[in-house]
Amino acid sequence: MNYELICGLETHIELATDTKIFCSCRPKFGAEPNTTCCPVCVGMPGTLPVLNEKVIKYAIMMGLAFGCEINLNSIMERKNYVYPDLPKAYQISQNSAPICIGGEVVLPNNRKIRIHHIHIEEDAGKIINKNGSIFVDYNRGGTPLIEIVSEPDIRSPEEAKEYIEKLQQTAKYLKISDGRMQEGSLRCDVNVSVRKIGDENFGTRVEIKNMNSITFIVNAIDYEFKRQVEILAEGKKIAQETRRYEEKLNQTQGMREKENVTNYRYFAEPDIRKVNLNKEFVEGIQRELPELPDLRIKRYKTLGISSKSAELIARYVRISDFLDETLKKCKNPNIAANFIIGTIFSHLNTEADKEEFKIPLNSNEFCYLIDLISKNEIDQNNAKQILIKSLEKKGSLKQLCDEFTKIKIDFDISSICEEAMSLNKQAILDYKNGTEKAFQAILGTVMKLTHGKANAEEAKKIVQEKIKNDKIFI
Amino acid sequence: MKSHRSIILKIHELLETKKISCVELIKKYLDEIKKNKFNAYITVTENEALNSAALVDKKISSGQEIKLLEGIPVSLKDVISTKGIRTTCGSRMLENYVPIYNATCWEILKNNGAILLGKNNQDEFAMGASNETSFFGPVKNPYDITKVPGGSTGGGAASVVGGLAAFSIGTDTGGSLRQPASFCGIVGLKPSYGSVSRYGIIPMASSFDQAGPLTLTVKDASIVYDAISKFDEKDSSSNSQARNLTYDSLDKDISGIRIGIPKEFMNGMNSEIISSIKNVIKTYENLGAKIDYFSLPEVKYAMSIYYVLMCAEASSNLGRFDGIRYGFRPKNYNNVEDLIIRSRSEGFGDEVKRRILLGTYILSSSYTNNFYKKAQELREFLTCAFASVFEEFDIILLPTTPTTAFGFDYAEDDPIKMYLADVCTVTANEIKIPAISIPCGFDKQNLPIGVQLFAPRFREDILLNAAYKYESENFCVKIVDGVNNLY
Amino acid sequence: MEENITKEKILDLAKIAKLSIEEKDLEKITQNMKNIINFAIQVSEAKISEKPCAYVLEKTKGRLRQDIVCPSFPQEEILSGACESENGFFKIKNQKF
Repeated sequence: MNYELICGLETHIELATDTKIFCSCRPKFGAEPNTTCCPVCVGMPGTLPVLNEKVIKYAIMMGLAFGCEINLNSIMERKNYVYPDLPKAYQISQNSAPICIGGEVVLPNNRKIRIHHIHIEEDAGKIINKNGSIFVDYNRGGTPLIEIVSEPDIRSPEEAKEYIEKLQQTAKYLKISDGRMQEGSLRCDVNVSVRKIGDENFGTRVEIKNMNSITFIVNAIDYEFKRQVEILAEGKKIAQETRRYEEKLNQTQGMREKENVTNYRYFAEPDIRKVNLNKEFVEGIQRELPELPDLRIKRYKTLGISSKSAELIARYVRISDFLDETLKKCKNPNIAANFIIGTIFSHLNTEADKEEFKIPLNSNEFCYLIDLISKNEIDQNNAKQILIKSLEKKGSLKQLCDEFTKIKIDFDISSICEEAMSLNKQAILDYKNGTEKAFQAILGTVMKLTHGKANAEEAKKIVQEKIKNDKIFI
Repeated sequence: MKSHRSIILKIHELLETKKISCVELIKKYLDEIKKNKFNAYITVTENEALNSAALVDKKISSGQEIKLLEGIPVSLKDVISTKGIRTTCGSRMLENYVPIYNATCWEILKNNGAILLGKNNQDEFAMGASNETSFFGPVKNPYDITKVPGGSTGGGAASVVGGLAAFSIGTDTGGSLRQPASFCGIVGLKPSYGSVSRYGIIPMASSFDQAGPLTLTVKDASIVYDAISKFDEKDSSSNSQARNLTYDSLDKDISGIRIGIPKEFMNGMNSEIISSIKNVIKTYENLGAKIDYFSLPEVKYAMSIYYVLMCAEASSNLGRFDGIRYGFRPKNYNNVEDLIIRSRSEGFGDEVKRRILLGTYILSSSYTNNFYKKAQELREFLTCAFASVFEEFDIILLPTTPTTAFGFDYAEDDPIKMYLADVCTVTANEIKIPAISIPCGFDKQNLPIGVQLFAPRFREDILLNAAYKYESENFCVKIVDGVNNLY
Repeated sequence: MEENITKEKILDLAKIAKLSIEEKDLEKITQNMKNIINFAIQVSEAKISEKPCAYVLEKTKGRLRQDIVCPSFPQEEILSGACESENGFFKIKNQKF
């Protein structure tokens, strides 16, 4: 095939601020219709917008994370069009002077997708079509959005997936959005065109709007690419249009409505105009920016943590923060990492759990456990059990550790082993005659006698030694 | 009233000394309003007014002190949102619209105890200079009912001069407070842009609109301005710096004040008006002012700048009226598109539609001929030019209107003729400075003439001081009808 | 400078502005609008070359507000002016959307 995909994405991300962008209503997913509204966000006559400072901050954070230039002369503008979900008949958005310009998203294979700009805008309400009527709910109206517009640098559906995941992960990392596509926190408009490889001009662009699933986006791009190639191969032209993705048939389809080239009549929002920004404000945000995943992964690798573990941990900002807190106090990165990937990840079943990272122990306690392992006062197995118990809230970690070490001090492993051996004379005979697993029975008794507190490795060595030197039981 | 130079102070004294009860006072006003001689009101809030008056009386009889504005009857232009009270903007579109919140400027007056008599008639959505575009019929000038009161705050001006309210709050986008004040022989103050909160004021042009008082005297304007000029966090354009209050400096000596007269506004005006203005100049000279003329040729673009920018903003502001969430809707409609188009086509009057079309034209042609951008640049240029003028002068003096009150159908089929009524006033809105019109005489038909003063932005103190001192030499205001024998 | 304003242009503008103009009024409105538009666009004749002065450039930037929640309005109040409402939604008949 001698065609290549030219794809650009416009990604809308809902910001997780406490209030809407221009009023003080609290947005709430799933609320009863028209219950998180006020005269401002319903556009009642005479109301005025006042810009939420956190929205600016979050937009700048996202921009800085991708190396964008922050426009200190950014302005808000009105995008005028009529639709029932847009109460003012204009959307306050940005056009000629968006807040972030340039920048790039680096994909896992180091390919760079350039960002054209990032701008802020308000979301519209929701329309439901039912029984020959439309029903409008303005709860979502006024929710702050950032729109990240990429250059058409994406060359495969896979790259589109990685690009979106990178945006999603970064947004979650910066804690500016929960990035949940199913809930509408992140959605994409996909622009697809094709051209013969080696050609410098772009082909005609088709837009597929409002997609909120990565799988569907990948499928849609795939289908659309093939569709366009087929058309061109037949010598026909691609119509510039907006299409929608039909999930059940896994196709993009032309929309029945005539595509109107809407003149948005952009002009500076007279009620707000220039966004209040100065260099110091931006520098302050830069300083407080959390270390991003790529840098964390690098750092973990230099500490000796495996590449895979580093990636897994760095994926979740709270878990990564937890590891960093722990490593401030104790010096065994590998053990810490392994326990996190192993035991703690198992406990935190779902993605949501891992992101939320609500566990009943803190980094001090975790560190305490790791230190004991380092000093050989607990073996890995027992440590794992203790950790599981504390995660299941069956006791505080420190308490459990102390109990364990205390019992250990109270018994003499050597005499316990002898006791166990005397209780398992048949097992010793079997073992000497070649039955390996008979040994386990002896160890089992050791563990039973010490209520599981014995160091299994140590006990094994002692029992083997005794059997070797054993004269009594022959 | 002449002794107090203030009807507010006079009423306050009458109430405090119990010469009249608040309920009696309000009843007098309501009785006069009921006669409906001038069609100055769209909604009369009789019960609310009487209830509020009763509370004031209770306070007085229990020996408590009342605030200066407490018990004073006020009327509001019908673009000012009043919670629970119909707010129509003079339009069929909002004939039955009841806001669920209060405009900040009304909230302030309400908290100060002012009593709302009702909502004034006005040009539809504040678009007009004669109060003839109202869906609720035209307003008559109490001086001469064959003449217009001016617009768009025609009802407010008629209420004040016609003795149907002690003062009124209106809005001014290109002259809508000052021109009616001039036509009706009263005081109209347009504060600096950013002085008075715009929250709750149904907008025409967002970067021009300001609410302000229509009063009988300068002192009344000062009292009301000082009360309503407050920072409002709900309005992004609200000035957050400390205000220069006006009351205490009203009577300051103005000898040495530098007054500039723009040549461009003294040419080609009605000769009676020019001669009246020249008398004003003489009065100021006698008060010790230094008068000089200056020229600023670019003011010839002032109207053009205004119509480009104002209509662009207004066309966008009026987009939200589609019948879905509030407002007029036809009885039967087939679908959303039908509802929206018919709601707007049947709800809006002709002048509103013309301005929407002009605004749409301006904004949609920004790719080809950028009139909008040009107008913005000119606006900035004028602002700078006047900033330089204000380095030489403290006050600028010019006529308020090119004519006195004209008859109905003055502009007949020629909208532009009506637009030109604002030629002396639009500049102040464009450059965001405060401006006041004060009565200075009468023409041969006994129709009032007004003179206009400009001051630098946020210097309402200088403005009202200069106005007050003139008024001291030439107090020519009177209440021509209604409640006019208490004072 | 004069703009040529035709009936078609007026109808186009009306469409964008969601206004309907009856055939019988179209001629008059077009003539009116032609005069008004040409009156307004005199700005394009002005020749100014100076840059805005510091006074203008310093003008107030939009203020920023803190991210603090205030209670929303009750549903009934939001719906109080509605054309029609049902189950808390604004409802509009729509036979062909």
